[in-house]
Amino acid sequence: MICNRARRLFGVCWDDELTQAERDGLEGHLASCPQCRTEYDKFSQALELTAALPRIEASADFMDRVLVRSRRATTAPDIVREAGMRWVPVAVAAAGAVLVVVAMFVGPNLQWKAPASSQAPQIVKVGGPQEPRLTPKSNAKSGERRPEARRGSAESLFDPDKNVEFVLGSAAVSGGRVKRDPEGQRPIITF
Amino acid sequence: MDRVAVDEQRAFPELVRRFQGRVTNLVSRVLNDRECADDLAQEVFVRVFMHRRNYRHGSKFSTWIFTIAANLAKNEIRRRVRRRNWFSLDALEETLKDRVIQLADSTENRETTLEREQLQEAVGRAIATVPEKYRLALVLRDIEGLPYEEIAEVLGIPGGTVRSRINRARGMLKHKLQPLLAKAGDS
Repeated sequence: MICNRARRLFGVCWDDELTQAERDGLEGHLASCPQCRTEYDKFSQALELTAALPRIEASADFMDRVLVRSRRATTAPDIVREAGMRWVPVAVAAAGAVLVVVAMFVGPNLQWKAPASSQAPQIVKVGGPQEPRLTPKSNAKSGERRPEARRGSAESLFDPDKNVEFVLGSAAVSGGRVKRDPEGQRPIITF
Repeated sequence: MDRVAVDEQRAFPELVRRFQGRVTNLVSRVLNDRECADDLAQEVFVRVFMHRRNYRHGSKFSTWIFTIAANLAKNEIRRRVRRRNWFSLDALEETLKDRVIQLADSTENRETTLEREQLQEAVGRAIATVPEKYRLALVLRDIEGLPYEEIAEVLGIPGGTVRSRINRARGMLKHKLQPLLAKAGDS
């Protein structure tokens, strides 16, 4: 047996897992090779020292601390889970109630406001020879006069230099002046 | 463990009592840090308790608890490496030199408690400098005395890999303890 092969068997020998043939070969080699014998002595000495290390015992209060930590570690998730389960139906019910109330009180206003936000209200010029009904504005930005309107072209909705009255279907207005139209059916707001 | 899983009051303390020594020793030897090991060993049992219902019936409990301990120890080693709060090989060599000088100087009562403690401390430090993956296998085998098959399960690696890791770890340990062994052998 050569030295390399013998040294590879040191661990197997230490674990007592050598076959009889390997054992015979290794023992024969160690008897004839002082270097390998020294190496094996060091190897076994190192492992003996390792195995002889004293066992490190747990501290005296180990058990108490483990039990306290375990209790804390397991209690916390339970509390969170129970709290969550308890509040979910309440939160859902509250959210539903709020939605119903909002739908009841704000819903009609929303219906009225919805066309106002996307389209301009119908405009009727009052007092002139013609009463042009205006189609909804689509691109006009609030507070911005269109050049055509400023020039008074044929496409202009109204003459910007004259008073214009807007007639709305129904409105709650603060400020301005409100009067009835000639038919007395619809309020006329004057700006 | 089955009794712990069904929340039997006295089962868990009994489990802790039975395994606290082995778990503390394993973690201490892997980390070579007594105080930290105590905390980590407690954490092992806390994890066991938290995951008690995940324990697979029929598998060996010691394998399961050692797996948890090994994983926590690995995490701790990696955390220390990241923090660079780990002593270097140079520091170990210094320690070993000191121990060798102390051993050589002492002519009488070589087997005194103090010297034995110093030797054990040096061996503990030498083990702690073996790379993590080899160290865990070494401690499980040569300190805890686990069979190769169980170490393979604990570390989640094939049996052949376990053997080669332990073989390499033993070689590294012998190499690290070389000065100590030579001087101790001469005198």
